[in-house]
Amino acid sequence: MFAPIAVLNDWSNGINYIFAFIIGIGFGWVLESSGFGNSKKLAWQFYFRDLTVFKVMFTAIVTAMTGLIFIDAFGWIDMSSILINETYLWSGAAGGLIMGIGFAIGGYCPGTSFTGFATLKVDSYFYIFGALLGMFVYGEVAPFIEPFYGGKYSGYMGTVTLQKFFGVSAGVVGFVIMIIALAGFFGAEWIEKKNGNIVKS
Amino acid sequence: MKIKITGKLLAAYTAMILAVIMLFLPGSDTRKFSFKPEDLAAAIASGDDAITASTLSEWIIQGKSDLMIIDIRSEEDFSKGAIKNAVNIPLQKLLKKETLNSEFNVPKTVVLYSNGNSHAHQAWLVLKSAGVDALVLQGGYNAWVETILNPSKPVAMEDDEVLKYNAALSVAKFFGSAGEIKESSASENKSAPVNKPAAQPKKKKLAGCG
Repeated sequence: MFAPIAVLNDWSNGINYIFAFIIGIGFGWVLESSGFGNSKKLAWQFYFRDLTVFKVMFTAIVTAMTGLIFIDAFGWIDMSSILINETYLWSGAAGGLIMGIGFAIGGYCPGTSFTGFATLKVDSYFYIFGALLGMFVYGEVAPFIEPFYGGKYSGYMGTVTLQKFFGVSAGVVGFVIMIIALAGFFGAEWIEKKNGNIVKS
Repeated sequence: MKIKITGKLLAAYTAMILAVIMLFLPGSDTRKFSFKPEDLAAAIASGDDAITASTLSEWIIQGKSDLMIIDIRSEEDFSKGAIKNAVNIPLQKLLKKETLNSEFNVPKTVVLYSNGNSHAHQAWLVLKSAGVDALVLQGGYNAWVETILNPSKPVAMEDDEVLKYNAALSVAKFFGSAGEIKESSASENKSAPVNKPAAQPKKKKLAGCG
């Protein structure tokens, strides 16, 4: 577990598993009740028919971002202890592309595929099998493409954030992302009205 | 239907208001200082706080990739002569919060030196507290000039002594000295030893302080 709930590190595994179970069930329940266990709904965002996923994802991003910026401003959280993954630009972009293609083809992302698994959707079984196969193949290939995923062609940038990169405060980045998000929401609704086909969950 | 639209607009307006407030929030310093006297004392006692001139010269010749050598003397001293690949960040500038936040994002081994010892050790304390993996060059630039650039001639002309001396001379040559004090040109020393390629936002700043 990472900050700000790093205190869980001091607790026993048993208690942590209970927490993981509760959080996992809660997350899965939210996904399922938003209709994200249905691969059709997920896939149709790529055809600009049903942008629910896009809106939910952006809502989550904007909510977490706003919360962190304000909590930081109130001095309630130590931002420096928050784990930020290191950026490997090119390998990250390639990974995102592969993940996106898989998402569009399979209609699931890794998390939702397990939601589909829990509600006995047959296509999710194939998806999970494919994901595991992909991991296996990557594991076998990884040593040969080391310069790309971790070496000099990976575009390593350290633990960089947008505000650090542009040299502005976190609030400025937050403002810009909020504008993008709002434009995205209204754009998404407009597109849905135009050629939408909302999948009933 | 009408209520839904107002709800949506309400959410959008709330988001906009929050965004505008955000714009003016200062944001906290990203680098956290944690002063751990025991760790510092342990490093000092075991000698892990310093590096000898000869080890440093080996690192430079080997091209150790995560090495960053910082010359904390004034720009004037730096331009008169400095260690190959060192970047000049005078002490006052180095100990500014902005510098600490911008220069040490990528993990690297930092070697500090001034003319002698004390200023470098003061900088070492601050960098260590800021979580930077820092070392002090033992004896500073003076020691570097004495041992690396001007290796002393062996007293007895025994074979292995002479061999060692010749090796030391070739090291001195590598660093641009012919066995006697020679002021290396300032432009030569400007190149930063930064290892990672491309897209480093701090590049610009480095160039500005050469």
